[in-house]
Amino acid sequence: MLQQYTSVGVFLTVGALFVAVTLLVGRLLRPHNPYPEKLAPYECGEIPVGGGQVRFNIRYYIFALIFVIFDVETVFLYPWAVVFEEIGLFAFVVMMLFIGTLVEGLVYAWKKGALRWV
Amino acid sequence: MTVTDWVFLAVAAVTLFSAYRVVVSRKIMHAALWLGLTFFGVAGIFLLLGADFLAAAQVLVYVGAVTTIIIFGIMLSTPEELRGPSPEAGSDAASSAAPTRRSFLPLVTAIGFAAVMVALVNRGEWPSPPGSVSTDTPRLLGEALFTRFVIPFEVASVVLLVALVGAIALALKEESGQ
Repeated sequence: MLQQYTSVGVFLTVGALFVAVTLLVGRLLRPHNPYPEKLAPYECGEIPVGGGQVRFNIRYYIFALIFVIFDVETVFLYPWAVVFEEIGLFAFVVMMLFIGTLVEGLVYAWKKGALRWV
Repeated sequence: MTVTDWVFLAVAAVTLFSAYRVVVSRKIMHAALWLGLTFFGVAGIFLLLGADFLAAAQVLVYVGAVTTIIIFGIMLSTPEELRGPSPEAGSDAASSAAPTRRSFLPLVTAIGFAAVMVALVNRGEWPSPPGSVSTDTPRLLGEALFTRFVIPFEVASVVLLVALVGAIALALKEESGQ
């Protein structure tokens, strides 16, 4: 069972090692000479203004949440597609009801102006 | 020990370590990223148990979406809310309670949770040992979802709808209140 995921394991290990080795080699090779201008955050060559942590608009959260909900829907679509041929019309109706309920939420968001970018 | 045992030990070690880092990280953004790694480790454990679809769903929903929404939650907070009151401004009661909050309570909670989980694992009836089920898990899940568990499946969509509408209502209230 585990053999079919060997490539995933190799990919993860090589990926992690690649980052670790790159950072380690960089640390060993680079000169260490920090001064205030170099330590300042890079803002397209300008002198940075204000703090780095600002409060983002609440609208981002709505987009993230809609993404989460339709992400969950996608997860359910996959087993549905696998058994669709066997169960047929009933599975189709059940899934349309499921998607319809979620689309209702999307329509609500749309009507309320939550999707409008201001 | 077989290869599977070694892989399990490695995945479990990564999961436990990153879960520990979630709790002890002083910067909340680091804690959120460690939480993502914890979710990823849990997906690895699901995979080792033969639940490949569950592992994929875990990566897609928890690593992909839940971690994103937690990071958005951090970005929506003001820096003062994230750091909490500065240590100099903290009252005596808060500073004397800090060691309890930092060491004693988390330990009690962790031991209590572990005890409940061990009791559940020992008492629960397991229909089949892990890995013995057919590997075609999406088909099994689909058959169960669209025959026996149709009503819970539809109820799940209502739960998702409630979450969506509730979040929009709260977000718009917040926006108009400012």
